[in-house]
Amino acid sequence: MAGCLYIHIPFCIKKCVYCDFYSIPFNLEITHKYVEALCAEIEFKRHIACDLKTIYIGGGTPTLLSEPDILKVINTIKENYSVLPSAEITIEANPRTINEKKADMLLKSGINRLSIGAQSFIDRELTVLGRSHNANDALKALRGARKAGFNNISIDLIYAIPGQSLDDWIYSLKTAVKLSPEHISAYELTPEKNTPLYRDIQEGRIIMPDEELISEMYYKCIDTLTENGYIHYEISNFAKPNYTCLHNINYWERGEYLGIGAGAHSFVNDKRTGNVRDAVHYIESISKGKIPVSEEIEVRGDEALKENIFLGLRKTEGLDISRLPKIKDMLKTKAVKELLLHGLLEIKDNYVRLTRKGLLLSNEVIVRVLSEIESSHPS
Amino acid sequence: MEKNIRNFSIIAHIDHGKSTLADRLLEFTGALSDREMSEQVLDSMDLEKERGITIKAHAVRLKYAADDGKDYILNLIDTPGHVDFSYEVSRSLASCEGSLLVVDATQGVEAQTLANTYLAVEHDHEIIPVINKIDLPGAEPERVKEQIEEAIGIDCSEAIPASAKEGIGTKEILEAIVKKIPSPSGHNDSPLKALIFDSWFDNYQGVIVLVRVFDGIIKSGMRIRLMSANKDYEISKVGVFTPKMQDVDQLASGEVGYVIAGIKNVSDTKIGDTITDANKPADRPLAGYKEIKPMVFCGLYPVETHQYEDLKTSLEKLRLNDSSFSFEPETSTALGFGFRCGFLGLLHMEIIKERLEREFALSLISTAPTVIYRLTGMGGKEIYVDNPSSLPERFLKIEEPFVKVAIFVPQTYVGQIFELCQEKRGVQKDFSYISKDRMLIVYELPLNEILWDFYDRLKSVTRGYASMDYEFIGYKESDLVKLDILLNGEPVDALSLIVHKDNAYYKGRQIAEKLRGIIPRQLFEIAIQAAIGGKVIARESVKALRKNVLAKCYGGDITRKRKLLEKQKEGKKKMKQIGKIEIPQEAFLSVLQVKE
Repeated sequence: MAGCLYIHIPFCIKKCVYCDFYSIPFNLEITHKYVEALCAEIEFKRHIACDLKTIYIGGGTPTLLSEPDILKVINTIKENYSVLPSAEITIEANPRTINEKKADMLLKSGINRLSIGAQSFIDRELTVLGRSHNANDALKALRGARKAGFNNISIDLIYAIPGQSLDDWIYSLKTAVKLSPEHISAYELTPEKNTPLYRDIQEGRIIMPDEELISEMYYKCIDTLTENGYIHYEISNFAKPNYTCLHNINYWERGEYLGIGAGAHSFVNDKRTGNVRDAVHYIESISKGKIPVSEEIEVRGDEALKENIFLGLRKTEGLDISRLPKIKDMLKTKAVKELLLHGLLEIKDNYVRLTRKGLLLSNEVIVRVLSEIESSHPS
Repeated sequence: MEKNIRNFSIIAHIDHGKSTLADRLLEFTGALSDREMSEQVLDSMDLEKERGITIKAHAVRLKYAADDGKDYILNLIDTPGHVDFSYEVSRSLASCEGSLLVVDATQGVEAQTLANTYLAVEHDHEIIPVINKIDLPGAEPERVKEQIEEAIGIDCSEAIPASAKEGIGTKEILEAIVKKIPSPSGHNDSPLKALIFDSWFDNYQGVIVLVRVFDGIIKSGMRIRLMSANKDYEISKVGVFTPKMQDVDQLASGEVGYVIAGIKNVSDTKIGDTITDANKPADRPLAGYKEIKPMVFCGLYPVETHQYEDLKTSLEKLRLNDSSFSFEPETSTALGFGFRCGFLGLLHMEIIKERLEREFALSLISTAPTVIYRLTGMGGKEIYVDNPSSLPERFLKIEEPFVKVAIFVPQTYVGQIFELCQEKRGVQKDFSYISKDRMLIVYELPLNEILWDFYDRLKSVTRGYASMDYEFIGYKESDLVKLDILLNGEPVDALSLIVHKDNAYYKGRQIAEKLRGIIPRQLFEIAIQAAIGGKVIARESVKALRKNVLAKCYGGDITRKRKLLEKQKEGKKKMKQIGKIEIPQEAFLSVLQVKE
């Protein structure tokens, strides 16, 4: 039974150049129908989750939803699943869509955690990213949320933006620190295929910062934030003590979760499923009483172990060796010994984890470790 | 002695329409119904169809009722269309009395056509020019006729305009074959002499041999002798291809067909050998038999070492069908256990490699192709070296194979050709006009230099307008050295090559630079060095990898992340591990792709 719930709201005012997430332009009529469909899916799946300890409303831009729509979604959740009193209930917000009044409404609806997509505090960089807000909007959004009474706020930041210098990055980091959010996510800008950014790079119109600079930015980020009281608890995530994001930690620990909405993913009973991404298709299918599943994969045995490894190693505390007895054998393989020797992995207090150097090479490390699992079980 | 037999082949450049024409002839004479016609019947191997070239020779018997009221048997002997197989071509031509010379009306005469036509003329063929593709908008039949007359010296006043695609000219071609090509001479009562012009292995019947009977009669039950192999067999079946296999009682002098005689190994049925009656042998075999030797060598290694046995079995199976390539076990410190394989030429090499990968599902690494060098050791003893890594440090003399290359090219590009041949250490031998604006350029070049992207460069400097042909002329002494490539100080034997001393520095630098681009960044820095006789002449480095991380694990879409990691893992699997360094397969061929 899943204890974590994800709700996807695929609407945006404007598409960002680097985003390959499914989203469509905001439109009142579709939005209304979509919310109806969400509520219907929640009801269909009322037996799949209970005693919710986290709820995450992500997007797109969920804060585009009107007050009645948000209340409707939250209330439908509460009617169909029991929500623990201590539950972490997050909503993602674009700075332009949040002010004190809106924040007050969200708080009253039961939402207690706000994740603001600030991305940068330099206007030029926000333009490069194709964001619809400026640095000032982000500051205002955060102050508004604080005034309304939010005491668990997260800020998203992006580095490796074309044209960004190390000093630029430090400026955004320090600005974020001054605002003192409880949580900071710092993501490297990754050009995904089928995005305008990717095409611009391919065609030479935009040049990405080089690997050395990006590495420096990453380490600068870790150092600046940890010096200011944040705990580095996952490759790209930092939190003040007791403010880690429980919803995301559940993903990395392979906990079960239920996803609702177009393109939302679930993991229940060893099965990973995903709904269709197209919102119109989603609405139509739900209205006919059918959940539009586009992919379903069962993950057991070695595949499950592999997931445990590549998800668990994302956390800086690493993998608890005592919890996964199979990992013990893996640690004796030549590949892992080499990674230990190269200083990419370390074993401490019965945990195996990526080192500071290994964090930036996590794919390289994980691929080597996963290959060992395969070669010890010839298929 | 049959007077109503005509044996002929078709000479054409690649894409000039040989296979389509063969199809039309089959169709017209009713050899195949429309339903049975699959495009280009004669090219039966998948590879042949895909590449549009004929690899193995075939022979088809057609029945034709001519305008003179008589019935004729026409034997179409299909020939391979590539210089690598010129010996097979010559044996096929020896089996006929005439040829159709098919030239594309939009393209004109090409080097390959010229070479094969000369070969046909040497075999006293009656040659019937066919100007194909006259239906195309760019067709210039008159200009092409002129070209054939000037370049080859063949009368084109009766050349047949045709379009094999549209079926134009098919009947005229068949009539010309009957009227112009002489019927075969020979005597049924003389001792048997049959020429082997092709053979292949069939899983059910053993080796199937294609023959042209010159004298005598060959029939089932007969004891035959293969004269150069000096082996006797008893014939179980003789027959003809119509193109379906059809057994007949006998093949008499002048006829073409197959012989099955319980032969287990194609290497016993050498192309060009003569079959005779074991009880009443001919005193001399037919002229022209040659032992064919591989000219181009490369190492073939399984990517995954456990596939070594599979590779061995596959090579053995392939050799059942193709006795012209050779293989011997070889060990490389870098690549492990593999085979040094010899081929007739580069195309032959590519075909064998592709068949191994496709038909036997093997994943292979091939080292850069090399020619075979003749070495005179310090003691004066001659040895042949087909692997650069086995070149001894000291020797008296080293010689390399030279070829005579004939290039056909529009006059505009002559300068570029000179430059290219000069750079490839060529010596000009001839230079003449074959028509108003086309030239024939003849160079002597080291064969090794042709392996180095010569053909691609020729095509690119002439925008595809040049065509070429070459023949082996012998060994000549050259100033050659061994160029070694070292990774982190360790020589990688599979990357060594033999180069001319004058080019060695340049090539060393280029290869090191090229490898720097191919070898991906790894957990440690990699030093790439090129060295001659222990002296480092070039150095590059691949910096250590700093960053390979998924910044974000979007929402709950874990499957997508797993797929991404799987993809990276697959990429790694395709690499060859040498020491601790992972090298992509293409690195081993990169030494060839150095632009000059």
